[in-house]
Amino acid sequence: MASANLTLALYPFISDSDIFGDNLGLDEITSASQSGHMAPRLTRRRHLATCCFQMIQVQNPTNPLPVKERVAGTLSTHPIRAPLFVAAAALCFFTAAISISPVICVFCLLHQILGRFNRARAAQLTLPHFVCQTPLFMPVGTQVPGCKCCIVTVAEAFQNIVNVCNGPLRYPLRPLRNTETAVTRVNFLHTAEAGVTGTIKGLTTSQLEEIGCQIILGNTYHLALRPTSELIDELGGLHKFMNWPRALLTDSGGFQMVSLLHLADITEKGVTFQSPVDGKPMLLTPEESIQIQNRIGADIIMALDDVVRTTITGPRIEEAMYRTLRWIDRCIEAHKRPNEQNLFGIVQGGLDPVLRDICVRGLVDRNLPGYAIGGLSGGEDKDSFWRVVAQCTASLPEDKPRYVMGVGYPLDIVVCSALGADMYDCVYPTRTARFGTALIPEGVLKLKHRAMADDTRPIDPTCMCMVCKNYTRAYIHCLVTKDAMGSQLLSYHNLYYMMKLSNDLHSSIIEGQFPDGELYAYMYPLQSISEVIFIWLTLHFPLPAGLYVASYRKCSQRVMFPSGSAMPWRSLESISLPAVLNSQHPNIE
Amino acid sequence: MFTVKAWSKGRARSGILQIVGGSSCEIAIETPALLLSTRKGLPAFISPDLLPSLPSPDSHILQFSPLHFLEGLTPETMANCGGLHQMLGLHEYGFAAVPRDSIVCLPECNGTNKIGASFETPCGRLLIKSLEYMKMISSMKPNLWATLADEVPAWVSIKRNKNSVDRTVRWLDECIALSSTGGAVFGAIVGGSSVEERRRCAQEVAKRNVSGYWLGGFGLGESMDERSPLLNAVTCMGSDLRIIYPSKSRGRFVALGFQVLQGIASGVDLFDSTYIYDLTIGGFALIFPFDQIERNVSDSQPSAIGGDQTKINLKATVYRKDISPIVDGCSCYACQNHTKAYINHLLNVHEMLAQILLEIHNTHHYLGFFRAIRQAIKEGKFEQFRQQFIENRRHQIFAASLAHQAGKSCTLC
Ligand SMILES: [Zn+2]
Ligand SMILES: [Zn+2]
Repeated sequence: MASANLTLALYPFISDSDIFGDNLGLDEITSASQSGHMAPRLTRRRHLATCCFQMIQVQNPTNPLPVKERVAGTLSTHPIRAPLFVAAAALCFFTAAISISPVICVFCLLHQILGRFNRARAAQLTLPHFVCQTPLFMPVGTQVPGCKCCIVTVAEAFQNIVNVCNGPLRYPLRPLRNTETAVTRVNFLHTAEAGVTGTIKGLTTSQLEEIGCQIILGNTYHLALRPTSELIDELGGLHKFMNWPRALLTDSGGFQMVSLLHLADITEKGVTFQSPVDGKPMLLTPEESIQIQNRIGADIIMALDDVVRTTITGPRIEEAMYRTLRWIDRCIEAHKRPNEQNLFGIVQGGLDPVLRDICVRGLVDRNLPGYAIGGLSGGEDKDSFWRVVAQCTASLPEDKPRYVMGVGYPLDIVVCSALGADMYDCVYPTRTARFGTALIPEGVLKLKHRAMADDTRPIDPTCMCMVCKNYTRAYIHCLVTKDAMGSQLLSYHNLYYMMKLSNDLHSSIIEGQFPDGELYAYMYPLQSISEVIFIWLTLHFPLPAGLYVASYRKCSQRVMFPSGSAMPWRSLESISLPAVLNSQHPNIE
Repeated sequence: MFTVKAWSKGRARSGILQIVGGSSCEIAIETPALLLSTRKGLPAFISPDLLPSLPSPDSHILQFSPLHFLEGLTPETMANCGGLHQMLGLHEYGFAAVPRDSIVCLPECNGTNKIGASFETPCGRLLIKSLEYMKMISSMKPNLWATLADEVPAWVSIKRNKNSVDRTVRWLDECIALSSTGGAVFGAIVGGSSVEERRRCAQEVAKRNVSGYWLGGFGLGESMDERSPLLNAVTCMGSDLRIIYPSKSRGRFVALGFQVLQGIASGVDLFDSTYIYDLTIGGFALIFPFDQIERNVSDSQPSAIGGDQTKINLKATVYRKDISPIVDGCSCYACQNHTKAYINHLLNVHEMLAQILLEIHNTHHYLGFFRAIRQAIKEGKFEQFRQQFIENRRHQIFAASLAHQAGKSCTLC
């Protein structure tokens, strides 16, 4: 903490003219993200502002803390490390202890940082059931065919329909015009799929172990509906029920309700939704969500948050953020198994850096075992996305794991790891496998494409997985979207790829070979193929700089083989934008 | 390649089938054996890394339909890959090619003409000629392959039946002439439900240079009682032959177990069955004891939960909280790792893992049944085994025949 003290001691010399509402430029954040800095300049300024407020507060003790939460959030006791404010801090803690319910958190988690490279960190996360290496990717354990959160993005659905109806892709992807058609088409796709015995990710737990999965994510919402959390509890918890010896994480269930159910309504009490079983209105409160998750018994459980689409603006975002903060206290209160399960809080606040900051502070004050960055991956542009991640990871405590929710594109994982995040989850690798898409270092490979029919190479010649060691693209081509085995084999490869990626990230951070944070930050919005490949080369083939060019040439030939069916990342990103979740999001404003 | 090791009192026999796998590794399969049905060379749900968990070497002989590959893999690409063993990376496995698969590739007797045999496939109705078929066979290099057959149901006219025998024999000649691989040829025998035609066909095929017989046209409308003489008519041709007996098994197990035993009693060595697939799709798991020590079954009745003492339907709510394995003491992957409650949950949420686990268990269990039969033959107790099997399930057979008469659909259909 020595460096922190040093940095903070300098704060009084920074002008605080633009404390709020400043819009940081790309270079500002990247320069702040260099090693040696603890936080972007914005956060440092905010920090200063808080300190000033607290000073005022302390000087005027008769004046109780403002009732308005926004200020309360800002004022909440952030530990002041600067020696200058020690006395003030002590008093401030005292004040806070009276006004904010004091929370003593017992952790059953150990987060040891093994290596750093600029902001990126590689750590060992010790959970009750498993010792994990971060950065890590968590596959989603329970996908349900009838579930709309587990299905395709519009573009993917559309593309599959094109494939089904017209054979191999004849015209390029284009987004659908309106929501209605999108939904209809997705539904059509679903009916079509239901007939094929529910082709869903089919891997056994021993295969998942073999691949190297460390944590599986279980959807609380689905598990609570079937087989119900009471039954899981009765049968000895989810670990025992599914015979998974490693770690598990459950979400709060709120996200699914809000995104799946049209009539979800969020009030201070909780999320009211229409039961999919009998249509009756039901209420999921923070207490109930935690109770259900306590019964399921995962290593990490998530607090119930008020989820809003990031593309929504205005007071709703603010309301959701403050509600999330209010709910976290109720979640902590309701948490009955803090010695066996780690409760993670979720940072909300849309794309507004001020709101995000208030939320981060509020959560950090509760001293939780870990923190998640939520509300992303909902269709915001990549530039806003990484800014939020950069801001949150900069102000979240160093010694706690950081989990970016719903992020799963390989490139997003690399960028978020460079910014200091540790955990990710996404249905993407298995979902895309069902539609015949394989993840490869150059991008994605569409195995439905006609050009694959006589391609006798493995999916990815550099991959060491069971599928790539044994099967040709031609064979997988004749299986995909027709036989259950096609999606099994592709899911296996795609998950192996994600695990390899997290492993590579872990070891390259420890070995200090992780690409420079600055380089990344500049490259990412540009997203040109050459640069992405460059990133990959620096990650995978630590060669002297002079050789990069040669390797890049080799690579680019692979990207553009005659059929053009290996898609560069750029196209992949364009697929990620129109998410079905958006189109089906209920109007909660 | 095939040697008979033991005979029971009747025609039932036990032997060893020796085949050479992908990279010239020897595989010895004891018969009577079950050919595991596959989709494009791999079992419907068991991925190749889970295959070794099945009993070995019993599980090392797979049946496939070359027609499956018409969906997207040309014979040229297959040949470039070096055949099916190479393409699937399954070198220690033997492959038996049979034109139809009884699941998605079915013979369509109305479409068949003198040029070729017609099949309903996932890519529509196709007319397969000998030349085309042999192109596929030579690119896939299976260990054994059946020739093209004109399979007709039991109810066709005498003339059509006679025609089908003539065509099948002619296609056999064409296939043998076009054959360029070393795989063992299994001559198809058809003839519907006419004993004379069956015998004529068998005699014609026996004159050719074939390594075995493939008995086609069964399970297409003939009754159980009709089947025995039909089988006997064609299996009386000597001891040096192996026979694949396709049992189209969309029926109750009683009937099927009986069918298998009936086939073995007539001297059939290899069975090609979709039974495991049908069970798995229906959410059923086999539980019947197949060793000689039969349990007291007098008090067990076909229960209302959609099962009997042969199989259980894991979709039934009684298994919601059942934390025991499907069969206590079963050594398969599913029983070693998972409970009935979990599989019940997987079926409820339509997770494919349910089918994976069920296929593993059912294959495991069914192979055990074949092992017990072989044991009985070796000990000279096959007839007792068969009698006991039928005895223990008499009331089920009775119920099944009642259901059949009443036109009710059985639990599996
Ligand atoms: Zn691979
Ligand atoms: Zn078993």
